[in-house]
Amino acid sequence: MSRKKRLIIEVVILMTIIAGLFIYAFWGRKSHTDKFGDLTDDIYNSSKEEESMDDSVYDNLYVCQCPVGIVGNLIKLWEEVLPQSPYIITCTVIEGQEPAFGGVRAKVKIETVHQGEGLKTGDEIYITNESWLLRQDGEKVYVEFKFHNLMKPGEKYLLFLSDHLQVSEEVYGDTYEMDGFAIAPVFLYEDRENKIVESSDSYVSYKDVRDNEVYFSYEEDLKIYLDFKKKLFEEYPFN
Amino acid sequence: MRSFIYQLRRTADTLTVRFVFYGFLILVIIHSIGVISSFWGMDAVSMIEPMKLRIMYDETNQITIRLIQLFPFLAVIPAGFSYFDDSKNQTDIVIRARSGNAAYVRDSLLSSFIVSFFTYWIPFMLEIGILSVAMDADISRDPSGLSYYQSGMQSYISNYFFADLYKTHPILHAMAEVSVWATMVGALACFSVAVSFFGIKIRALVFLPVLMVVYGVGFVGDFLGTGFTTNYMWYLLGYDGHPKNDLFLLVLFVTLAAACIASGIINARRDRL
Repeated sequence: MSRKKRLIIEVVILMTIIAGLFIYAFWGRKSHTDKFGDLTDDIYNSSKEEESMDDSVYDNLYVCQCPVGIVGNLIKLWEEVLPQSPYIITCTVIEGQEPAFGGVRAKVKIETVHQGEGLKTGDEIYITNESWLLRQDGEKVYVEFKFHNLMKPGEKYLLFLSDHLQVSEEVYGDTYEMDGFAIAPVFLYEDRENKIVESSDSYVSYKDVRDNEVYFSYEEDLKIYLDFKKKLFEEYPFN
Repeated sequence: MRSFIYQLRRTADTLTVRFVFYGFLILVIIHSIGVISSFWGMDAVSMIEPMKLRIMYDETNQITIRLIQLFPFLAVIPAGFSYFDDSKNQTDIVIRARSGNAAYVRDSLLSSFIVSFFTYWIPFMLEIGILSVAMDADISRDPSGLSYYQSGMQSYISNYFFADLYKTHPILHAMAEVSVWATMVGALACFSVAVSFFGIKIRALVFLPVLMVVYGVGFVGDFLGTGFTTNYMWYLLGYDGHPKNDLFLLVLFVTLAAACIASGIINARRDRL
């Protein structure tokens, strides 16, 4: 076999293997799922009228209820540290929580800046919390947003942010994070009926508590939390 | 030009070049298939940044550790012996007589650089392409499990090789990194040819100049306490947290290039016939 012929055969075989590998890679990408994304598309885009729809689509979405006894000590700590947070803002959610860069982030539009240099009304920022976690186990997706429901577009919140992240804005966006307290320092300007569901572990099906603001496993803890929230809103009202 | 192409073809069409090139290619293909298979059907929340799953960056993989340990040898094996082999079977005399001494020296140095460069560059660029297609980088986390939003992660990233490029364009960063390492492989192979012009008689000694440069620079850096690592291993593991200096590699490359050019000029003037 001539040298040239051998080279052509070599190149053809190589190109075929590489093309096959790219097809396999593309196929592999297609096999990836985005269960949280699929579910949140429904959650974030559903209007109030649609909320009575069949919620069996949320069968595989689980959230975590706050164990007994955490909130009392946390609120003592909050009373001391939250007013000293570097950034205290009132905002409207533009994009609900979604996975990004290994973490979870949401996008908000600032309505009022109660505290914090460099922020002004109308700014759109990303917020993240080190303790916001999403886990997948087979078909099930576990949402651990520190005992809070998902932040849905249009909802108004009071946020206590601890740091302006020094990350590339071009890639990550203008991002602020909140401290990883046992319960996220995120307070909804709306009164909701917060259902408590009996569960052997801390996890409960999302469809049972989909309209909650927060997830507690003990009525007394929920009351302590809501009383504290009421006091906060007297200090930081939504304008 | 014809003599250069002839020399390039001679250097490229050898058993050692094929052995190393196909060796890298087979490793990359097997590793990529393994990565794609292990993430098959996984959910977005479990994804890891694809560029950090490349074979040269998997510190838990025994093959990766061996590749990094053998790096100085793998740099020399494909084309670093080109002059040694020519002088052993006296092919160099025929080519010198036909093309001229200066052209032979120049073509040998250049072709060893180019062949070594592509022996390394093609398989590892292919790996970047495959993994970029196979996985989405934006939602992924570090293999350590940390998110890029976590406080320690950004300061850890600032110790990466070409950290600024990584922060904005991870895939371009990976491509730049492979290109820089391919250039270093080419420069080391070229350097071993440049030294062998001075008459190395034992095959194993062709490795010696490269080993002296690679390990010597590491020891000197440790001895002087430069404040940044000069150990090649930490530069090769691009996502490592040891403080690095991007300029250090440039200085090393310029020094190697200057040594090759000096050897080329000296040997081009010597009458070998």
